Amino acid sequence: MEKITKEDLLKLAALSQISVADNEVVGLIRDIESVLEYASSLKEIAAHGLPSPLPYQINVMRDDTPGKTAQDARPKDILAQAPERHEQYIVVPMILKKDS
Amino acid sequence: MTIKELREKFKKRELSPTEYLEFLRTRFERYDNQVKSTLELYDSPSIVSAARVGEEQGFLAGVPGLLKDVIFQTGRHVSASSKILEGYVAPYSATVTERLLEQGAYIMGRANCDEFAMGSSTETSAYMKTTNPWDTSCVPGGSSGGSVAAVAAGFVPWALGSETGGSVRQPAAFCGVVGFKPTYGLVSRYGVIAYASSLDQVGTAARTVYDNALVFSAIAGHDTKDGTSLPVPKKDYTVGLTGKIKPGLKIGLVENAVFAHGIDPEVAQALDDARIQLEKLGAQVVRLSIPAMDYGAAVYFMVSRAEAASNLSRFDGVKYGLRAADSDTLADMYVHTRGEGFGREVKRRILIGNYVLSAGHADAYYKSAKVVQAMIRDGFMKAFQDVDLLFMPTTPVPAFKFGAFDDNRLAMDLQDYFTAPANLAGIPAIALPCGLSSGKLPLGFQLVGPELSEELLFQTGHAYEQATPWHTLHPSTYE
Repeated sequence: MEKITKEDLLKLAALSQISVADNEVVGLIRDIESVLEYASSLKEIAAHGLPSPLPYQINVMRDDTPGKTAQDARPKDILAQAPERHEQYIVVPMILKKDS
Repeated sequence: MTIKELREKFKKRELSPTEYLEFLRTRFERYDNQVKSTLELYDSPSIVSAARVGEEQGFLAGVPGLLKDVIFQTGRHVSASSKILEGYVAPYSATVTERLLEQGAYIMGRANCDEFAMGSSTETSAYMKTTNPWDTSCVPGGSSGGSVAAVAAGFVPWALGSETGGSVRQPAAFCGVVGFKPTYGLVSRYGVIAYASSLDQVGTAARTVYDNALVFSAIAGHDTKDGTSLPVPKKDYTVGLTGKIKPGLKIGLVENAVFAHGIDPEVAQALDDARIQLEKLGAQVVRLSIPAMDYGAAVYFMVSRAEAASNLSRFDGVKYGLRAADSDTLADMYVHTRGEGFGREVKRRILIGNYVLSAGHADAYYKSAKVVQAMIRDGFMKAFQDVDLLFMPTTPVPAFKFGAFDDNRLAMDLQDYFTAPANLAGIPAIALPCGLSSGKLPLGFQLVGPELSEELLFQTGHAYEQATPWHTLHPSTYE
């Protein structure tokens, strides 16, 4: 049975870009482990099967033309949703922390 | 009142759409504090003006309904019942929304759901817990609990939900209404918040099969805005509803589902009664089994969570929704926005999803799941060489109490056991009420069909319904 350590979970959380509080760790580990255990039989079952091709494997493209209809979203409507804006730009915190 | 009856009254001028709209509004105001189905009800002028056509042109003209809080309508709030999208206003409409408005439908509001459609009870909504109108100490099912509860309580005659692992059919079974899941690709996903893109489909909920098929007719059909949309034209799905089943109809009773361990005895009895009724209508019911289906839940867990981890990575506080305050750096902002904005179930699923996709685990979990998914699909396709439709339970038990699975998340997840296989195989299914438990909770069954067998499902469901009283039963509290 796959055991997940606290370190594993925090690494996974960092990968998923989600902060996990200390008091959430134990519960999350328990939940994840139980689902993984339930799914652990899949590897063996899959060994008896051959990967079938997907039913539809066609690339579907649409015309490379800008939105024409009244229902298409306008840039200003989309930009209006940004939490912080400066003219046409979306403002976010700095990437690297400045040394004070 | 059914949509059919409503449209008759509108035509005869016995009732006007605005009168009916106000009547439903008073029902919401009076009873929705008990059911808690709807996050937001819109004001009448905006509801009416959004409808593109009037009486003469639209077959849903003046018929009010709800959209699950994952379906976009321009200018309306949409939040996936999550804090991370609190205050977000949709800048465009989903194709399904557009098509409903083109038929003159009145979109009354947005229905509560499990957060990001992740759950089987609507308990994970960040805003409120919808109750089952038949017994408010019980869940309505999920994730489309709000949509289905509102229909069951008679607040609206139709509602749209979404299906990834059974999220329209399972609540439909718990609340005694008709829940429908289309063939993957038959209904456009454009403008619908994605959970697991290879499984998601918009589904319809209504009190009768005819009503369900009518609303479905508005939304189904090819859409150029959805690259996974099937090249199927729009059509009228009510045409075949004669009240009779197709001559020579052969139904396969899936033994490993119907006689599975853990099915409540009253559900088992109701299933048997339904089977007998179908035979009385002239269907030939044969027994078969689809062994691969037993792995459906496990496969669903792996595939859906992996896709969810990818789909939900877009919620990062940059372009829309919640942004964590006081973040020193961009990385901090991502991590804290998602930590604060996502509820526990969503976090759980993202973490599992990333785990099963990561190096060292992908082969054992995700890739294996994809192989078994193909085996499940093959199992269904083989079965459909011998039968026209499949008969199985929708849920193992009637609606459970709130908190029943608080300590056992896996048991909650397993509520999808009978519904998820159809989502994995991309095939359509209809959930129909077939009884009431001794505790006066609805019991249901489902029919599953091969790809693009919607008309046969509706026809068979309609015949069953018209020969039985279940569609006439409604929870009595909301008169």
